[in-house]
Amino acid sequence: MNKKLHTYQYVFLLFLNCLGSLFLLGILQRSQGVASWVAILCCIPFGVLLNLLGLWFFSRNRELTLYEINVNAFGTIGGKIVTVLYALYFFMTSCVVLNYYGVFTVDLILRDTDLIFFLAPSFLAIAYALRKGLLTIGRIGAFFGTILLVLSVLALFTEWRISDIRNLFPVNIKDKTGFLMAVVAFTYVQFGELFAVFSMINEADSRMRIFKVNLLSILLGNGLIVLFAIADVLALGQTMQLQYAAFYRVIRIIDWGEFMNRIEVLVVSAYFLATIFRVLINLHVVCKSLAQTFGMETEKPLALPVCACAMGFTNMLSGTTFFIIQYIIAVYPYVCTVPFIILPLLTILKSKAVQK
Amino acid sequence: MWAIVILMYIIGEIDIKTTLKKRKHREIVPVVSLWSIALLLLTIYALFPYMPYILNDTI
Repeated sequence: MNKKLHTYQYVFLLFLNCLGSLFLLGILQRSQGVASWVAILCCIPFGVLLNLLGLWFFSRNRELTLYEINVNAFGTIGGKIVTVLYALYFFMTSCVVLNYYGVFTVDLILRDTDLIFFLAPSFLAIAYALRKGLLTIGRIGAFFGTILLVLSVLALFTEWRISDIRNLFPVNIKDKTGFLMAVVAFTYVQFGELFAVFSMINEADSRMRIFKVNLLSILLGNGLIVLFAIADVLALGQTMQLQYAAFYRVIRIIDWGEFMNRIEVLVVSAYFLATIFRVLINLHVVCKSLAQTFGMETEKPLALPVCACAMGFTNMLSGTTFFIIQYIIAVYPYVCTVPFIILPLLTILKSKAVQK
Repeated sequence: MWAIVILMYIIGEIDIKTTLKKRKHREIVPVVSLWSIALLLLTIYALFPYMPYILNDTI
C-alpha cells in the first residue's frame, strides 16, 4: 500500500493553501483601497524568492522531516527548541486565520451567533481529519480542490463581466511606509505560509520534481488570487476601501442570468473549505513537530488537545476585524521574518558547517 | 456557550482517560498539558465572556 502522498494530492493541498489567503485579501483591500492591485503585484517577486528559499531548505534534505533537519543542524536540544518555535508560529497563524474568518462570518453572515459556535464545529472537524492522518487529508484535498478550482474560475468570469477598466486608476499611495508594510505582510500571508506545505515534501511521492511542481502549483493558486484582487478593483473601484471584505461585496452584486443571484453563500462556503484546509495543514505541522519533539510514535493523539487549545486561543484572540487588520499589517511582518527567513538561513548555514 | 465548554470538558476527559489507559508514558505529558491549557482557556472564557474585548481595549 502506498504510504506517501501522490503528486496530484500534494499539488491540490498547495493549491488549497494558496486559496486560503483569499479571505485575507480583504486586509489588503481595506488598508490600501485601489492600490491593492499594485500591492499584490509587488508581492509576487518577493514571494517567489521566499518560496525558493523554503524549497531549497526542504529539497536539501528531501527524506527528512522538519524536526530531523533542525536536529541535524542544531543538535538535539537546539533542534527541539527550533522545532517548537516553528510549531508555535504555525499554531499562532492557524488561530489568526480562523479568528479572522470567524469574526468575518459572525459580523457579516451569522450576525447573532457567538464566535465559539462557529469555532467549535470547525475545530472538531479539523481534529477528526488530523486523527485520520495525512493520506486522508490528501484525498479530501484533491476532491475539494477540484470543486474550488471550478468555482474560482466561474466566479472570476462572472466578476470580469461587471468590470470597468477606469476603476483601476487613479492609484493614490498616501502612506508609503504603510503600503510597504502591507506588501510585506501579504507576501508572508500569501507565499510565506506555504512553508507548512513544503514541510510535507518528505511525505510526498519521492519521484516528484520539487521545484517544477511547487512553482507551477503556486503560480496557479496565487495567480488566481492576483486575478481576484484585480477583478475586485475593476468591479468596485474607489468604494473598495469602505468594505471589510471587498471580495464578498463583489460576489453579492453579481448574478448568473435571471435564475441565479445572491450566490455569495455558495462561494463563501467554498472558500471556507480553503481556509479550513490552511488551518488543517498548519495544525498537522504543529502536531507532527510536537510529537517528534516529545518522542511520540505518532502525532495522532495530539490532534484533539492541539485543536482544543487552538479553539481556546482563537476565541480569546480578538473581537473585531479592525484589530486583526492592525495586527497583520503592523506586527505580523516582524513575527514572520524569524520562521521564514532567519531560521531557514541559519539552519542551512549551520548544516553546511556541520557537513564540513 | 456553556454547552460548548461542557462538551469540550467531556471530550477532554475521554481523551485523557484513553491516553492514560494505553500507558504510553511519552504521550501522557503533552496530551494532558495541552488539554489543561485548553480547558483553562475555555473556563476563563465561560466565566468572563467579554475578556477578548477587554484585552483588546487594553492593548
